[in-house]
Amino acid sequence: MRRSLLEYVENKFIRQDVADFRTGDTVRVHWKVREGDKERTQPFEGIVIRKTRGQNRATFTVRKMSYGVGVERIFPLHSPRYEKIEVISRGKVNRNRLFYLRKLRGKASRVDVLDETETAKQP
Amino acid sequence: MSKGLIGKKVGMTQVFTEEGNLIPVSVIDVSTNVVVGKRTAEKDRYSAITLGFGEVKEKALSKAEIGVFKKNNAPLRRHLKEFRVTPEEAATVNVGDAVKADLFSKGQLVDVTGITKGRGYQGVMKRWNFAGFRDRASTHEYFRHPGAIGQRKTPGRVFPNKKLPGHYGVEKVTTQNLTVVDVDAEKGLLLIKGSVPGHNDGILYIRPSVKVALRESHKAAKK
Repeated sequence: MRRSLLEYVENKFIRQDVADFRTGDTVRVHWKVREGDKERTQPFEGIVIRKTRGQNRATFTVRKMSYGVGVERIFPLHSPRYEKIEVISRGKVNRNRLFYLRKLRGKASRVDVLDETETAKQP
Repeated sequence: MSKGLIGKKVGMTQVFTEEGNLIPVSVIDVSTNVVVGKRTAEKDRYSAITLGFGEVKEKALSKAEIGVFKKNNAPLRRHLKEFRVTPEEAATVNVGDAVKADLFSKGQLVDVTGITKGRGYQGVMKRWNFAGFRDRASTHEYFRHPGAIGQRKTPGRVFPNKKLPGHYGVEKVTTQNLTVVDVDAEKGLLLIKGSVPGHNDGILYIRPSVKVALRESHKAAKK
Protein backbone atom coordinates (compact mmCIF):
# COMPACT_ATOMS: atom_id res chain seq x y z
CA MET A 1 0.00 0.00 0.00
CA ARG A 2 2.67 2.42 1.10
CA ARG A 3 5.01 1.51 -1.75
CA SER A 4 2.24 1.59 -4.31
CA LEU A 5 1.19 5.13 -3.39
CA LEU A 6 4.79 6.33 -3.52
CA GLU A 7 5.28 4.63 -6.86
CA TYR A 8 2.11 6.23 -8.15
CA VAL A 9 3.54 9.67 -7.32
CA GLU A 10 6.96 8.82 -8.69
CA ASN A 11 5.69 7.31 -11.92
CA LYS A 12 4.02 10.59 -12.84
CA PHE A 13 7.46 12.13 -13.25
CA ILE A 14 9.08 9.48 -15.41
CA ARG A 15 10.30 10.52 -18.86
CA GLN A 16 9.30 8.16 -21.63
CA ASP A 17 12.05 9.18 -24.06
CA VAL A 18 15.01 8.11 -21.92
CA ALA A 19 17.91 6.91 -24.05
CA ASP A 20 19.04 3.33 -23.60
CA PHE A 21 22.63 3.33 -22.34
CA ARG A 22 24.80 1.57 -19.77
CA THR A 23 27.82 2.35 -17.69
CA GLY A 24 30.93 2.55 -19.85
CA ASP A 25 29.07 4.15 -22.72
CA THR A 26 30.15 7.54 -23.99
CA VAL A 27 27.20 9.90 -24.06
CA ARG A 28 26.48 13.51 -24.89
CA VAL A 29 23.87 15.14 -22.65
CA HIS A 30 22.18 18.16 -24.20
CA TRP A 31 21.51 20.13 -21.04
CA LYS A 32 19.26 23.15 -21.29
CA VAL A 33 20.75 26.28 -19.77
CA ARG A 34 18.71 29.37 -19.05
CA GLU A 35 20.52 32.70 -19.40
CA GLY A 36 18.25 35.60 -18.54
CA ASP A 37 15.15 34.83 -20.53
CA LYS A 38 17.00 32.95 -23.26
CA GLU A 39 17.48 29.23 -23.34
CA ARG A 40 20.25 27.32 -25.05
CA THR A 41 21.62 23.81 -24.87
CA GLN A 42 25.01 23.01 -23.46
CA PRO A 43 26.31 19.58 -24.36
CA PHE A 44 28.28 17.59 -21.81
CA GLU A 45 30.13 14.63 -23.24
CA GLY A 46 31.84 11.89 -21.31
CA ILE A 47 31.81 8.34 -20.01
CA VAL A 48 28.93 7.12 -17.85
CA ILE A 49 30.60 5.83 -14.69
CA ARG A 50 27.53 5.23 -12.56
CA LYS A 51 23.81 4.70 -12.90
CA THR A 52 21.56 4.67 -9.86
CA ARG A 53 18.04 3.32 -9.98
CA GLY A 54 14.77 4.21 -8.30
CA GLN A 55 11.77 5.28 -10.38
CA ASN A 56 11.96 9.02 -11.05
CA ARG A 57 14.88 9.41 -8.66
CA ALA A 58 17.29 7.56 -10.96
CA THR A 59 20.51 9.40 -11.78
CA PHE A 60 23.65 8.85 -13.83
CA THR A 61 27.14 10.26 -13.52
CA VAL A 62 29.14 11.39 -16.54
CA ARG A 63 32.91 11.85 -16.28
CA LYS A 64 35.11 13.72 -18.70
CA MET A 65 38.57 15.25 -18.76
CA SER A 66 38.45 18.99 -19.23
CA TYR A 67 41.85 20.64 -19.85
CA GLY A 68 43.52 17.91 -17.80
CA VAL A 69 41.05 18.15 -14.94
CA GLY A 70 38.53 15.39 -14.28
CA VAL A 71 34.96 16.71 -14.23
CA GLU A 72 31.96 14.67 -13.11
CA ARG A 73 28.35 15.67 -13.38
CA ILE A 74 25.38 13.89 -11.90
CA PHE A 75 22.20 14.13 -13.98
CA PRO A 76 18.73 13.04 -12.92
CA LEU A 77 17.73 10.48 -15.55
CA HIS A 78 14.17 11.79 -15.74
CA SER A 79 14.93 15.48 -15.56
CA PRO A 80 12.94 17.66 -17.94
CA ARG A 81 15.99 19.92 -18.10
CA TYR A 82 17.85 17.99 -20.77
CA GLU A 83 16.84 17.94 -24.39
CA LYS A 84 18.22 14.51 -25.23
CA ILE A 85 20.96 12.05 -24.44
CA GLU A 86 23.04 10.97 -27.43
CA VAL A 87 24.89 7.68 -27.17
CA ILE A 88 28.23 8.20 -28.93
CA SER A 89 29.68 4.72 -28.40
CA ARG A 90 29.10 1.58 -26.38
CA GLY A 91 31.80 0.71 -23.88
CA LYS A 92 33.09 -2.74 -22.99
CA VAL A 93 33.52 -2.83 -19.24
CA ASN A 94 33.58 -5.47 -16.54
CA ARG A 95 32.04 -3.40 -13.78
CA ASN A 96 28.83 -1.59 -13.09
CA ARG A 97 30.57 1.37 -11.48
CA LEU A 98 33.72 2.70 -13.05
CA PHE A 99 35.23 4.61 -10.15
CA TYR A 100 38.65 3.18 -10.98
CA LEU A 101 38.79 5.62 -13.88
CA ARG A 102 39.36 8.43 -11.40
CA LYS A 103 42.82 7.16 -10.62
CA LEU A 104 43.82 6.68 -14.23
CA ARG A 105 45.19 9.27 -16.65
CA GLY A 106 45.80 9.37 -20.39
CA LYS A 107 45.73 6.16 -22.37
CA ALA A 108 45.04 4.01 -19.31
CA SER A 109 41.78 5.83 -18.65
CA ARG A 110 40.23 4.83 -21.95
CA VAL A 111 37.31 2.44 -22.11
CA ASP A 112 37.29 -0.22 -24.84
CA VAL A 113 34.62 0.39 -27.44
CA LEU A 114 32.24 -2.37 -28.37
CA ASP A 115 32.07 -2.82 -32.15
CA GLU A 116 28.77 -2.79 -34.01
CA THR A 117 28.08 -6.54 -33.95
CA GLU A 118 28.57 -6.69 -30.22
CA THR A 119 26.46 -3.61 -29.76
CA ALA A 120 23.60 -5.29 -31.54
CA LYS A 121 23.79 -8.21 -29.15
CA GLN A 122 23.31 -6.00 -26.12
CA PRO A 123 19.78 -5.97 -24.73
CA MET B 1 -15.65 23.96 5.14
CA SER B 2 -13.31 22.19 7.36
CA LYS B 3 -10.24 23.90 8.72
CA GLY B 4 -7.89 20.96 8.36
CA LEU B 5 -7.41 17.33 7.50
CA ILE B 6 -6.24 14.15 9.16
CA GLY B 7 -3.65 12.24 7.16
CA LYS B 8 -1.22 9.37 7.17
CA LYS B 9 2.42 9.85 6.26
CA VAL B 10 3.14 7.60 3.30
CA GLY B 11 6.81 8.44 2.93
CA MET B 12 9.21 10.75 1.17
CA THR B 13 10.35 11.00 -2.43
CA GLN B 14 11.37 13.62 -4.98
CA VAL B 15 9.44 15.33 -7.74
CA PHE B 16 10.32 17.70 -10.57
CA THR B 17 8.83 21.18 -10.61
CA GLU B 18 7.66 22.83 -13.80
CA GLU B 19 11.03 24.59 -14.10
CA GLY B 20 12.72 21.19 -13.88
CA ASN B 21 14.06 21.55 -10.36
CA LEU B 22 14.09 18.43 -8.23
CA ILE B 23 12.54 19.00 -4.81
CA PRO B 24 12.00 16.69 -1.80
CA VAL B 25 8.39 15.99 -0.86
CA SER B 26 6.47 14.12 1.81
CA VAL B 27 3.49 12.18 0.51
CA ILE B 28 0.46 12.27 2.80
CA ASP B 29 -2.63 10.09 2.36
CA VAL B 30 -5.79 12.05 3.25
CA SER B 31 -8.20 9.86 1.32
CA THR B 32 -10.83 8.86 3.91
CA ASN B 33 -11.64 12.11 5.73
CA VAL B 34 -15.32 12.32 6.69
CA VAL B 35 -17.28 14.71 8.90
CA VAL B 36 -18.47 12.52 11.77
CA GLY B 37 -19.87 15.13 14.13
CA LYS B 38 -20.25 18.77 15.07
CA ARG B 39 -19.80 20.84 18.20
CA THR B 40 -22.18 23.72 18.59
CA ALA B 41 -22.02 26.84 20.73
CA GLU B 42 -25.41 26.07 22.30
CA LYS B 43 -24.56 22.57 23.44
CA ASP B 44 -20.78 22.49 23.79
CA ARG B 45 -20.01 26.22 24.20
CA TYR B 46 -17.73 26.19 21.19
CA SER B 47 -18.10 25.52 17.52
CA ALA B 48 -16.13 22.81 15.75
CA ILE B 49 -16.46 19.94 13.37
CA THR B 50 -15.13 16.46 14.06
CA LEU B 51 -13.33 14.69 11.25
CA GLY B 52 -12.81 10.96 11.08
CA PHE B 53 -10.02 9.26 9.15
CA GLY B 54 -9.13 5.68 8.30
CA GLU B 55 -11.73 3.06 7.51
CA VAL B 56 -12.30 0.50 10.23
CA LYS B 57 -14.41 -2.60 10.81
CA GLU B 58 -17.09 -2.56 13.45
CA LYS B 59 -15.47 -5.34 15.45
CA ALA B 60 -12.31 -3.28 15.89
CA LEU B 61 -14.13 -0.61 17.92
CA SER B 62 -15.72 -0.77 21.33
CA LYS B 63 -19.48 -0.34 21.75
CA ALA B 64 -18.91 3.07 23.29
CA GLU B 65 -16.87 4.18 20.30
CA ILE B 66 -19.42 2.84 17.84
CA GLY B 67 -22.13 4.72 19.75
CA VAL B 68 -20.48 8.04 18.85
CA PHE B 69 -20.81 7.27 15.14
CA LYS B 70 -24.27 5.70 15.39
CA LYS B 71 -25.66 8.73 17.23
CA ASN B 72 -24.71 11.00 14.35
CA ASN B 73 -25.40 8.41 11.66
CA ALA B 74 -21.83 8.76 10.46
CA PRO B 75 -19.50 6.15 8.88
CA LEU B 76 -17.00 4.42 11.20
CA ARG B 77 -13.50 5.85 11.34
CA ARG B 78 -10.38 4.94 13.31
CA HIS B 79 -8.96 8.39 14.02
CA LEU B 80 -10.92 11.45 15.14
CA LYS B 81 -9.94 15.09 15.38
CA GLU B 82 -11.88 18.27 16.07
CA PHE B 83 -11.17 21.39 14.05
CA ARG B 84 -12.45 24.70 15.41
CA VAL B 85 -14.57 26.61 12.91
CA THR B 86 -17.01 29.50 13.08
CA PRO B 87 -20.73 28.58 13.30
CA GLU B 88 -21.22 29.90 9.73
CA GLU B 89 -18.50 27.61 8.44
CA ALA B 90 -19.91 24.68 10.37
CA ALA B 91 -23.30 25.26 8.75
CA THR B 92 -21.82 24.63 5.27
CA VAL B 93 -21.05 20.96 5.96
CA ASN B 94 -23.18 18.02 6.95
CA VAL B 95 -22.31 14.95 8.95
CA GLY B 96 -21.27 12.22 6.54
CA ASP B 97 -19.72 14.60 4.01
CA ALA B 98 -16.35 13.55 2.66
CA VAL B 99 -13.59 16.15 2.97
CA LYS B 100 -11.20 15.92 0.05
CA ALA B 101 -7.59 16.85 -0.40
CA ASP B 102 -8.62 19.84 -2.53
CA LEU B 103 -9.36 21.66 0.71
CA PHE B 104 -5.79 22.82 0.16
CA SER B 105 -4.43 24.34 -3.01
CA LYS B 106 -1.06 24.21 -4.75
CA GLY B 107 1.43 26.65 -3.28
CA GLN B 108 -0.49 27.15 -0.04
CA LEU B 109 1.43 27.17 3.24
CA VAL B 110 0.32 24.64 5.86
CA ASP B 111 1.23 23.54 9.37
CA VAL B 112 1.67 19.81 9.89
CA THR B 113 1.36 18.26 13.36
CA GLY B 114 2.54 14.77 14.22
CA ILE B 115 4.19 12.57 16.81
CA THR B 116 7.97 12.45 16.32
CA LYS B 117 10.01 9.28 16.05
CA GLY B 118 11.07 7.80 19.42
CA ARG B 119 14.79 8.12 20.07
CA GLY B 120 14.95 6.51 23.52
CA TYR B 121 17.10 7.80 26.36
CA GLN B 122 19.44 10.40 24.89
CA GLY B 123 22.24 12.60 26.16
CA VAL B 124 22.25 16.39 26.15
CA MET B 125 24.07 16.73 22.83
CA LYS B 126 21.38 14.99 20.83
CA ARG B 127 18.44 16.04 23.00
CA TRP B 128 19.24 19.71 23.57
CA ASN B 129 21.99 20.43 21.04
CA PHE B 130 24.63 21.07 23.73
CA ALA B 131 28.11 21.61 22.32
CA GLY B 132 29.97 18.96 24.34
CA PHE B 133 33.66 19.35 25.16
CA ARG B 134 36.95 19.69 23.33
CA ASP B 135 38.73 16.41 22.65
CA ARG B 136 42.23 17.70 23.30
CA ALA B 137 44.24 19.29 26.13
CA SER B 138 43.78 16.45 28.62
CA THR B 139 40.00 16.24 28.56
CA HIS B 140 39.44 12.88 30.18
CA GLU B 141 36.27 10.85 29.68
CA TYR B 142 34.20 14.03 29.48
CA PHE B 143 33.22 14.65 25.86
CA ARG B 144 29.43 14.51 25.74
CA HIS B 145 28.57 15.60 29.29
CA PRO B 146 26.23 18.47 30.25
CA GLY B 147 28.87 20.29 32.34
CA ALA B 148 27.91 22.25 35.47
CA ILE B 149 24.20 22.21 36.25
CA GLY B 150 23.91 24.59 39.21
CA GLN B 151 25.53 27.42 41.14
CA ARG B 152 26.82 27.40 44.77
CA LYS B 153 25.24 27.63 48.19
CA THR B 154 22.71 29.99 46.64
CA PRO B 155 20.49 28.75 45.25
CA GLY B 156 21.83 25.37 46.39
CA ARG B 157 19.57 23.47 44.05
CA VAL B 158 19.12 22.73 40.39
CA PHE B 159 16.46 24.84 38.73
CA PRO B 160 13.36 23.08 37.43
CA ASN B 161 13.29 22.34 33.71
CA LYS B 162 17.11 22.18 33.56
CA LYS B 163 18.06 20.59 30.26
CA LEU B 164 19.47 17.16 31.11
CA PRO B 165 19.61 13.71 29.50
CA GLY B 166 16.39 11.76 29.28
CA HIS B 167 13.77 10.35 26.99
CA TYR B 168 13.65 12.06 23.59
CA GLY B 169 11.10 11.81 20.83
CA VAL B 170 7.48 10.57 20.78
CA GLU B 171 6.28 14.13 21.35
CA LYS B 172 3.74 16.23 19.52
CA VAL B 173 5.50 18.58 17.13
CA THR B 174 4.16 21.05 14.57
CA THR B 175 6.22 22.00 11.56
CA GLN B 176 5.04 25.38 10.33
CA ASN B 177 4.82 26.94 6.88
CA LEU B 178 5.37 23.93 4.65
CA THR B 179 4.48 24.44 1.00
CA VAL B 180 1.84 22.30 -0.68
CA VAL B 181 3.54 21.09 -3.86
CA ASP B 182 0.66 19.14 -5.34
CA VAL B 183 -2.90 18.08 -4.52
CA ASP B 184 -4.39 14.87 -5.88
CA ALA B 185 -8.04 14.92 -4.79
CA GLU B 186 -8.87 11.80 -6.75
CA LYS B 187 -6.30 9.60 -5.01
CA GLY B 188 -6.54 11.63 -1.81
CA LEU B 189 -2.88 12.58 -1.73
CA LEU B 190 -1.11 15.72 -0.57
CA LEU B 191 2.49 16.40 -1.61
CA ILE B 192 4.21 18.68 0.87
CA LYS B 193 7.67 20.12 0.40
CA GLY B 194 10.24 18.91 2.90
CA SER B 195 9.87 16.61 5.86
CA VAL B 196 6.97 16.19 8.28
CA PRO B 197 7.13 14.88 11.88
CA GLY B 198 7.02 11.18 12.68
CA HIS B 199 7.50 7.81 11.10
CA ASN B 200 5.84 6.44 7.97
CA ASP B 201 2.21 5.46 8.58
CA GLY B 202 2.10 8.01 11.41
CA ILE B 203 -1.04 10.11 11.84
CA LEU B 204 -0.72 13.79 10.93
CA TYR B 205 -2.97 16.83 11.24
CA ILE B 206 -2.69 19.32 8.38
CA ARG B 207 -3.98 22.85 8.87
CA PRO B 208 -3.62 26.15 7.01
CA SER B 209 -0.61 28.09 8.28
CA VAL B 210 -1.42 30.13 11.40
CA LYS B 211 1.35 32.59 10.62
CA VAL B 212 -0.04 33.38 7.19
CA ALA B 213 -3.47 33.92 8.77
CA LEU B 214 -1.92 36.19 11.39
CA ARG B 215 -0.09 38.24 8.77
CA GLU B 216 -3.29 38.66 6.82
CA SER B 217 -5.22 39.80 9.87
CA HIS B 218 -2.51 42.40 10.59
CA LYS B 219 -2.75 43.64 7.03
CA ALA B 220 -6.52 43.90 7.27
CA ALA B 221 -6.26 45.78 10.57
CA LYS B 222 -3.92 48.38 9.03
CA LYS B 223 -6.42 49.24 6.36
